[in-house]
Formats: sequence, structure tokens, C-alpha cells
Amino acid sequence: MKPSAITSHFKLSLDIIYNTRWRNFWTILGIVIGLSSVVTIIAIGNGIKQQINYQLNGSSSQNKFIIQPVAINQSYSGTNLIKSLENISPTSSLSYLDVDGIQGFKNVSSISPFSILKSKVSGSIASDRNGVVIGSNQFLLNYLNISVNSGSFIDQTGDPTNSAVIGQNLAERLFGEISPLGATIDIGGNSFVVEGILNPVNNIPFSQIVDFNNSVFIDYNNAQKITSNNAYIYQEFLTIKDNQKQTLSSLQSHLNAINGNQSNTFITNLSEISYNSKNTLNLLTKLISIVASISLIVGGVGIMNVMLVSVAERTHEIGIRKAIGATNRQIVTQFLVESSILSFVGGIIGITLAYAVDLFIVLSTAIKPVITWQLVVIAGFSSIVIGLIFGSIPAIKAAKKLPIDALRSS
Amino acid sequence: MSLIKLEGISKIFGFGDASSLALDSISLTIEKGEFVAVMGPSGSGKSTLMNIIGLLDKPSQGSYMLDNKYVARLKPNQAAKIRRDTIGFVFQSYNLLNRLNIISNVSLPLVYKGVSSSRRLKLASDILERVGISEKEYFYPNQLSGGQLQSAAIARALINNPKLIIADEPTGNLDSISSILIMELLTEIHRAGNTIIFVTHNPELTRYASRVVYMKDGSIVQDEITPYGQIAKTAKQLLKPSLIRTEEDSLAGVSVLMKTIDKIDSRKNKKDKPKKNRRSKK
Ligand SMILES: Nc1ncnc2c1ncn2[C@@H]1O[C@H](COP(=O)(O)OP(=O)(O)O)[C@@H](O)[C@H]1O
Ligand SMILES: [Mg+2]
Repeated sequence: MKPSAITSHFKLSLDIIYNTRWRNFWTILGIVIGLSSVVTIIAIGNGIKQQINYQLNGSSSQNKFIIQPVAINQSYSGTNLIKSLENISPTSSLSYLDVDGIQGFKNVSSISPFSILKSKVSGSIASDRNGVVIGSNQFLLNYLNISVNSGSFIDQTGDPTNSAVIGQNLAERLFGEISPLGATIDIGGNSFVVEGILNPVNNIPFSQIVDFNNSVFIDYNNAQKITSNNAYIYQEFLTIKDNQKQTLSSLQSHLNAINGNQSNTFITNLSEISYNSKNTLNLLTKLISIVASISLIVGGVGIMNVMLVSVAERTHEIGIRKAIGATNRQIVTQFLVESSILSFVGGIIGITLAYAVDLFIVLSTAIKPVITWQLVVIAGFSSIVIGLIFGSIPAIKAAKKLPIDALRSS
Repeated sequence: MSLIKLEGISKIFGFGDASSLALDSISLTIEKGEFVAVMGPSGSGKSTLMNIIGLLDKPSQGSYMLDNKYVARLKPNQAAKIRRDTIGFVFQSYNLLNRLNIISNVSLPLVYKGVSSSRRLKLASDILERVGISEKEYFYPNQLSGGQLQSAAIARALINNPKLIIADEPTGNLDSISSILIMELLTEIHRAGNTIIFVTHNPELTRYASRVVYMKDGSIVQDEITPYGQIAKTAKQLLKPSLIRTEEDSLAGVSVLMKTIDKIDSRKNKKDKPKKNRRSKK
């Protein structure tokens, strides 16, 4: 069909849609709601994925590993690494000895223990009865995507002075407006000196276990000291320089040996973990998208309905058009243009609504949905496709009418 | 070569007991340049014949050659293209699209031909000028009188320069003055070379035709060549007061015809006796 005819159909379709706008409004509501929910769900998924990426593999995750007493696949059902800590009981904790042993390995560039204590933490103006205290070492800074705003991180292993680094929110809660650098912080009856304050950390949504912004970081040795050697290590964060395969296998046999030849410690690549959690997330996104797609189908059926009514109302018009020489294909095109404009309008409103919903989510939760331009294009395109698919039955019905019968109807 | 050649054309509507024979083995040949009037009582099959000639409907039987092509059994799309390029329709009820203004209505056939929008407007504008309503280009159909609407419909029928114009009771909804204007317009188009077939109930209008075909019960009962400007002989019979009126006829349109005749009669009377009237008033 020539472009001039399409333009002509286009103008007329707009006019017709405008003239029957109230009927059409209710019709496209299905598309609007369906499309905005699909876009919102995908945007939330995108946002969470980005945040996981940011926290876990801000830098390359290829050479980063996690050592822990539970296989990743058994423990990772949720969306992030930290959440898995819930599943690990203290009795299966790793021995600190491993840290020292592994640190000396060839090609191991760093290893950080990761121990979590719950303890009363007091600052100058307030205290936190259930404060989160993380026992680790200086390498944690390189491993996780955290950075120090002022002061310094835990300096070195075996720090003789009781130094502590605190998260941004905790600093404000316990010390107020005044910078707590150099101030004393009390952890379970032991005095520590605040040596550093972290920059705000992008926490992974849904992670209530460890909020770095509300945590205190101390050296693992000090954690052992204040717990009388009861600071369990749940995980160890390992970075390997070269020769990964060989290093990993010798590490694994070393770990098996010190654990009485039981294969109950697991070394997992970080990219694999985020891959796993992303997979879970993708699956979830897909499932919810399918549910939302059903509303799109309902919307499509609505469009089909209104187009069938339109075809029936305009039978006489179809007769006139056929009498003056419109072919079946031209009639089909006319109605397809109309139905796809209708659902595209619904699509645009739906996308706009999705932006509004996402703004609301950003303002009221920790999730930052990401609507990419690709998502917008695909959503807009899908709305047109829905119009074409569901408009085709009415359009074909219109085209199939015999000219003389159509002309006779009034 | 004849423009239209119908042989043994029949049209049956419905099935079984409910079926009716609207056209009964009609054979008719129309040459290029003829101006044919079709007359006959209501239900005699005039419209059915026009629809078949215009490729809006298919005959149940018979062969039809239009412009050297056999067209009785065309596929819908082929028929559509022939309607677009070869045939122009004028209907009793105008059949313009109310949503479009006059110029868009007139140029609509060009849309289906794929003519560019600027050229469409130019051509439509020229045709509207020719039918004498160029000042109504941007009016909508509901803003025009019957005569103007029919002029627009004729303009639309002309826009693709068709060989054949089919007008089924083009003056059926018009008053006598508008009827005359529309017939003058068709005559002008005919002079420019078009073949025209029109259906009418009004014997007066056979003055414009070069040939009159009479139908009854689906058959052609009379076919006469008639000079321009004169009422056809057979049609003249209809004007006689001794005309037998069947109930069916008066129900279905001949009464309209009679009204027209009355008007014509009263006009003559007025001319004859103006003085008498004045006297009687005094
Ligand atoms: N679509 C149709 N279905 C059934 N019968 C029809 C149909 N169209 C026309 N007829 C019948 O065919 C006969 C001729 O009709 P028509 O051609 O409209 O007559 P005219 O135009 O001369 O008044 C009539 O008896 C009419 O009832
Ligand atoms: Mg008729």
C-alpha cells in the first residue's frame, strides 16, 4: 500500500478514535494497566540486578571467591549473598586458622574473614542495643564495594589499638551532627576509637541481615578478644591473582585436610553467585511478567471488542469504500491502523504510568527501578503488536463483507 | 466494441421456497457513449441489474463482458480495482462519508489508487469546480443541500475518469429543480464522452436519455432509442391519466411519480389560466 493511503488512514483513525474517546478510554485501560505493570516489574528487576552488580562485583568478580561451609546452591534461594548467612549455623563456622593458612598460599592476594556479632553499641548521644558488628580485616575494603568517607579503614591485621570504622547512618544515630572521628564508641562494654566513617553504601534491597550503613567494622582479632574467642567466621572472602585452577584445587585440599578430610567447605566464584541470584531474579521477573501479560491479553481482547463494535457500526461506510474501489487489503489496513493506534495510545499512557509508579517506589523503598530506553521502545512496540494481533479479526471481518450487503445496511 | 454485454444474466435471492428471481435471464448490450435510462415499477429488478453491472454483486447465472473483459466471476479484489478504475457510482442517498469533508469525500477513490495527497486535493478541487460546488470544498455533508450532496457524489464518481457511470435513482431524493440541475450535470458529463446508465421513476427525465430500457418482473420488456430532449414514447404512456395503478406500484414509488405528474400538470394550468385566478380572487 502506498504511503499516502496510510497517512490518510492514519488521520481518519485519529479522528475516529477522538470521536469515540470515552468508549476507547475504557478499552485501553487493560493495555495501560498491563503494560505499566510489566514495565514496572522489569524495571524493578533491572534495578535490583544493577544494585547486586554494584555491591558484589563493582570491580571484576572473576578473581573473587567466597569460602563457606555450605554449598552455594543449597543456600542461595534469595536474591543476595548476605541473606544466605541466615542459613548458616555458628557450629559450622570456619576456623580462623584457615585465614592465616590461606593468606600464605601462593597466588592468593587477599583473604578476609567475615564474622558478624550482635552487640550493644553506644555512641556519645545514643546507643543501639542490637548493633551489628563485623569482624574482618583491611582487605574487606577491596573486596566489597565500600569506601571510607573520612578517616581510614581498619589498618592492618592484629591492630593493637581498638579502632572501629562505622557506617554513615550509625554515625548519625549514635553521634549526631558532629563528626565522631576520634570519639569513643562502646561495643559490648569495650571501648573502641572511631577511626573512619564509610560512604553511604547501596544496600541490596530486601537485605535486612547486614546493613553496612548501620554496622561497625572492627578487626577480627578484636572481635575474638571481646567475645572470648567466640567470633564465628561465616564466610571468607578470597582474591586470587593468577593460576586460578591450580590455586583453587590446592586450597580445597588444604581446607579438606584441616577439617578432617570432610568436604564441607566450599569455594565459589563470586560471578557464579551473582549469576545464580540473577538467574533466580530473572525467573521471578519472568513469572510475574507472565501474570502481567495476562492482563495485556485481557487488554487486547478489549481492543478486539471495541473494534468489532466499530466494524459493525461502520458497515455502511465499508460498503461505500468498497463501492468506490477499496480492496479487501485496504479495508484491513484501515482497521489495523485504527486498532494499533488505539493500543499504542494505551501503551504510551501505560509507560507514563510506569514512570510514575517507579518514582513512587524510589521515594518509598530502597529499590531503584531502572527503565531503560530499550524497555520503553520494546513496550511501545509490543503495544502496537497487540493492536495488530487483536485488531486483525475485526479487520478481516470488515474486509470480508460483501460490498452490496454492506451498502444496504444503514 | 460494446462497453457492456450481458447474456442470460439471472439473479436469484434466497434459497428454496424463500427464493426469488430478481433478474430473469437478461441480455443487454450497451455501446460506448450511450445515455441509458432504466425504468420500471418497484421491485422489477432495476437496482439488482445496476449492482451487477457495477460489479457490486455477482449474477447467479449468465455472462457479463465489461470493456472487453469477462467480469461475472471475478475475485473480490479484482472487482474492487475495476470499480475503482472503470466505474463511477451515484446513489439515491448520496452515500458520502459524514466524517469527511466534501473534498476528502471526492478524493477518496484516489486514496485507494495511491495518489499523493497534494495531487488528490488538486484533482478533487478541479472536479468540484466542474460540478459547480467549489465553494463547498471544506464543508461537511450535513451542511449541504440534497442537490449539492448529489453534485459532490457525482464529482466523486468522476474523479477516476471512469468509462461508465451508474446512477441508481440519482434524483430520487431531490426536488424537481435540483433534479433538473443534476440531470443537466449528467448530460454535460455524457457529452464529454462518458457512458451513463441511470434509473428513474420520472418519465420526464427520459428527455435526457438516448435510450430507455423498461423492466418488469426481472425482465426487459421494452428497449427504445429516443431522441434527446423528448420524453420517450413508452414513458409518455405513463403520463396519461388512464394509467393503471396496481396497489403494489402505488405502495412502492409510483405514487411519487404521480405527484410529479400532478406538479407538471398544475404548472401547465397556471400558465393557461393566470387571469382567471385573479378574477376569481376579486
Ligand atoms: N438482498 C436481497 N435479498 C432478497 N431479495 C432481494 C434482495 N435485493 C433485491 N431483492 C428482491 O429482488 C427484486 C428486485 O429488487 P430491486 O432490484 O431492488 O428492484 P428495483 O430497484 O427495481 O425496485 C425484488 O423483488 C426484491 O425484493
Ligand atoms: Mg431500486
